[in-house]
Amino acid sequence: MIIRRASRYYVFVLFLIIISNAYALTYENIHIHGFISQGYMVSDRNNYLANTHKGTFEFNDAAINFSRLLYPNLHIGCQVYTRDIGDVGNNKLEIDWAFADYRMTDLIGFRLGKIKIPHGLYNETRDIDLLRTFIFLPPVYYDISRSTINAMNGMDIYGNYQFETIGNLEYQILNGAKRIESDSGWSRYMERRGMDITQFDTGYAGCAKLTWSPNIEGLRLGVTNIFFDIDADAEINKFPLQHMAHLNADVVKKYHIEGPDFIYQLNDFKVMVNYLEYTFREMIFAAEYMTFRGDLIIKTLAPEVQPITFHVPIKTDALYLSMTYRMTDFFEMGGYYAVFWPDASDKNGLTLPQNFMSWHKETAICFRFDITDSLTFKTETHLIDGGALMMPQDNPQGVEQRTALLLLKLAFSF
Amino acid sequence: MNISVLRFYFILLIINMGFQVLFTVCAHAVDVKIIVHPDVQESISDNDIRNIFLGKKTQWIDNQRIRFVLFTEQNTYQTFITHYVRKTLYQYRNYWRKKVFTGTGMMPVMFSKYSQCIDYVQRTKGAISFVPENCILSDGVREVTLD
Repeated sequence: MIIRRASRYYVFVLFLIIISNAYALTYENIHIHGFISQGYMVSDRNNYLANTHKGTFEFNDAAINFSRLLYPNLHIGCQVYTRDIGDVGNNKLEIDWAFADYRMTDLIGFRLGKIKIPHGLYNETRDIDLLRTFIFLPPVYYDISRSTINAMNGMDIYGNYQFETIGNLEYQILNGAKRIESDSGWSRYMERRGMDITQFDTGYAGCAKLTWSPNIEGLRLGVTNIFFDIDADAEINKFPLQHMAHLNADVVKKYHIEGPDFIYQLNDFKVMVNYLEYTFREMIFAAEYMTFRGDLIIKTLAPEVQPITFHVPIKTDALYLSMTYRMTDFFEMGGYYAVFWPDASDKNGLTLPQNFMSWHKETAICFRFDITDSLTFKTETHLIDGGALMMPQDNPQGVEQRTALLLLKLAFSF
Repeated sequence: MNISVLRFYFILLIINMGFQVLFTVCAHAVDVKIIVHPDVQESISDNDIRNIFLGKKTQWIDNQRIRFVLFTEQNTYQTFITHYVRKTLYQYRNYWRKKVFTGTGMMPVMFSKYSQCIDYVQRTKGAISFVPENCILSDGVREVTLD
């Protein structure tokens, strides 16, 4: 069996909670909620996010949150979160969010602390199986980006206004700083590009969100923008030779073989998402289009050779269309089609040795069963074309163009 | 194989949606009364009710804090949420669960007996709730007629 110790632990805890029939708890006016989930992933060709080719139970998460109303317009709370998905997470505890929320008027409120980033429609709830149909959200919320766009420390100003003629407008402006761990999903993604990140240093981060609910029943439209700068200390283990064509052959050889230390800076990094959601009775249709833009600067630090600086423009796009439909209290189904281009200026992979590494096209179908109000079981199939989100380090034999992935997940919340 | 799964899924979806459109009752009779604390004198619109029960409108015009409570008896709850908040009960529960799990809100106060709702609204300034149409109200609460 492939079940590891952590997974066995989770299955056991899950079982205990289910048989104890636990619901939301309250203690001394502190409200306590949480969830725990255990999944299974198996794929036919490539390993995707974990060792899925052989099937893996390294796919679980759990959280518990505490909140208390101090005054009618002021509450405080925090959530502790842990997860394991392949090499990422490994069930380390982290503070998911922790803040004080003061709602001064409908038009303006303030939050102070570690706050979830309102990226697109579903980023704030990306970890909570209970709140969505799918097991894996589309690549706009791809797992590697969680560490980058999950939450940030700072101050949030938010509010909404109901216009008689045009409908309701909600806004949120978040300013602060972002912390990224060196063993995060982002590091794994950079490792894919031959960079071994040893430390992240992130400065200012900001986010703005505007959602418009016009006077059309069930429709909401919006846009979010995230801005931040990242500096990272790293080692190169495989240098991108295409950027070194103009250099002396000895230098290329030295860098390629030994790999220099270097700093990479991702300046003026902007992530923008445009979104639309339409709810018609039990059906929800959603579409999002995301763009990543930034300037990646790589500065070598090897003392024995003259420093070299490279500029690599980042131009990544992703989009998806999804539809979910709740048939009964017990059963819901959904599907999406998503595309991710790491380099939108080369969507067909004309500059790559394997052209399919330039895209990730994914079709997913999910069936969700609400066994009780608190317990859900989901089964999901993904058909993936392209290798843009396949990690070569997970697929040492080489990445294949097509992969089918089956996911199962049981989740309990209270 | 894969294409047939997709085809099966979409056919099932379309058939089910068709049945829904054909057989669901288009207009429910709204068998609920909306009640407020007698101090609340302002006129209230459909949009106000929706925004109050979504936690978007939190103050009356006189700056009094709004305290809404839910009456969770299945039929009344479902009728009210569907008609006034314009969500299904499942969507409404998830809306508040989202707030709970992102820290941006706390679960509303809920009562399973309408007498508890009436009692709460009577005792609490700025309170608003809903009860079944046929229930008898005490003097300490005011029934609201929407604009």
